[in-house]
Amino acid sequence: MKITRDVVEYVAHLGRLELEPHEIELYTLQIDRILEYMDKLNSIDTKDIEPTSHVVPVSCVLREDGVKSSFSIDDSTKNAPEKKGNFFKVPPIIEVEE
Amino acid sequence: MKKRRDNVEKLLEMNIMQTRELLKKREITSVELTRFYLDRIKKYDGVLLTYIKLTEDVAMEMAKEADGRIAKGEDKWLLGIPFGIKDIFCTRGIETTCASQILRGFIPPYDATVIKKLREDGFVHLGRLNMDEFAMGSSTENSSFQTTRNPWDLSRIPGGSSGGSASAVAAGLCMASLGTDTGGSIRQPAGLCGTVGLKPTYGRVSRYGLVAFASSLDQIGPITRSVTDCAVVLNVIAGYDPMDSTSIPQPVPDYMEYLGRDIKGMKIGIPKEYFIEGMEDDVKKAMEDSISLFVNHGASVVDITLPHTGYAVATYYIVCTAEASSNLARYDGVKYGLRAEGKDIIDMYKKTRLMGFGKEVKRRIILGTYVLSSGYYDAYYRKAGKVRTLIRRDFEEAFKQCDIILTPVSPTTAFKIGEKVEDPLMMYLSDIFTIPINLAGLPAMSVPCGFDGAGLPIGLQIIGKPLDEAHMLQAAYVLETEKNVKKIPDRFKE
Repeated sequence: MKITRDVVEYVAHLGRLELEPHEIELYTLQIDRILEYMDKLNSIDTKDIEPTSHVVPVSCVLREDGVKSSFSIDDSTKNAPEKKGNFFKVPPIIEVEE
Repeated sequence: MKKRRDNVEKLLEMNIMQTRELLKKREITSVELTRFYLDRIKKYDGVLLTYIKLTEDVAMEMAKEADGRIAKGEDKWLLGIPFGIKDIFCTRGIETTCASQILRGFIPPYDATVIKKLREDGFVHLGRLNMDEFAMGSSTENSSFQTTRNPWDLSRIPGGSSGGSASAVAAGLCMASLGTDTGGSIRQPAGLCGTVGLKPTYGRVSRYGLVAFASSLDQIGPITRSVTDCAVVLNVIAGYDPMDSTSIPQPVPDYMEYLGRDIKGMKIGIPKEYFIEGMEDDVKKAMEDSISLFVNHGASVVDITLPHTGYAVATYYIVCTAEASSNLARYDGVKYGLRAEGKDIIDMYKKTRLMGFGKEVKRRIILGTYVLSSGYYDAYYRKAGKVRTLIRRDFEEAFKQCDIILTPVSPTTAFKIGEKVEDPLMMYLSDIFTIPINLAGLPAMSVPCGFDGAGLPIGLQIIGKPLDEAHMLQAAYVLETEKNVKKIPDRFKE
């Protein structure tokens, strides 16, 4: 096995995904097969090869730092599932002792 | 009845340039043309399921406006032309879902650059076309709304992820469409539905306002019924955009000028690695016939080698899942879309994402998070980046000897609905011929080149040098003119 149930559960937690027990089972099997397939890359010698993360050789595109119009607060927050005034509203982030 | 059928066929067989003439001469109005397509959608889309949502009121309003602009003598490529839009482009005031439950109800406050350009040209927005959720898939079976059918055989998939676009164009449920292509999502469905689909060079078309899947691979392009229409739409959407930092600041040629030019002396590369086991005989034969056609028109064939082709699928699924896992972090139930209840913020994130994402999306987020996680980064993500360099170099070498490269778009014609849905690796391998092109950032297109024994379309893939979409279109136009492949299945001409 390339990957275990525990690792899938842990990685799902990192990706902020809750999984149903049967999904953990299924993904472990499927991802194991996919990783096994990916092992074929190890048969190529890539010593001294620079990795490509981007095909277009552009770096650090800059623009003038000027004042421009942007979205209104109303436009920016109108899709929020929950909001309070001009703010996005979320469940508690810091535990408060009662 | 006979007369009506003739008229319908006439309108359907016209390309954008011919329709534009009718509009300019006031022989038809954009309102009539729009109504014609809306009626067709209502008549046929119940079985095809290409549209997630019709925007009838918006369409009629845009058509009226276009008629007004035409009456004033305004002359634009797409003025009054009805489009179906893949549901992945932010469009001001119109719900944009990416076929995902997590984005349900999201109404963008702005237009993607491509939509802005189409609006300036005066297009008509008929509705939102189906796709695999977040463009992850090759069949539209990963849409959280519906599975689109292939118009040539309703028991088969239309390809994906732009399957709604390709099927709607092929069945005549819009004049043209926009798709996106990360590993073949324009070319594969275009090929399987018998339409023309073009993925431009990475950076040629602005991605601003495109819902991101894998940012170093995604490109936007046209899906149309003819090569001419493809060139017209590309003329409108291509070009530098300061809103996309990967956009290439190079002038865009008039692609229409290349249509009708001969291909004498053009050097065509044929990569031996693409004639693999598992390629259907009919696909191979259609491919060989197309090569002979080009040779008869004065092109010459060069045998080339792309030795790292066999590693492309593995490389791609490391790169694209890694980028996807990062891009999709934004769906957290805070700024837009779905939110589930949770006892604290982490719990809310997790439950929202459990409810909002489909199976394939979750699978890719897990895989992508894994290949980026500490301890595995070098073995997977970094390794894939290095192999990507080798794949790019393969093409650089090959293009020293030829002007374009020809391959099939897919090793098989359209497969049955349900056939590969339980086996993700098999599904991934169906994109084996289109994936390497995205990794190398090259332009490539799909052109119909015939049918298999069962009457299913076969697509030829033409790959070009960086920013050389023009010569691809030039060659595609020769093939299209000579082959005259049937475009719309009979059952959609009643």
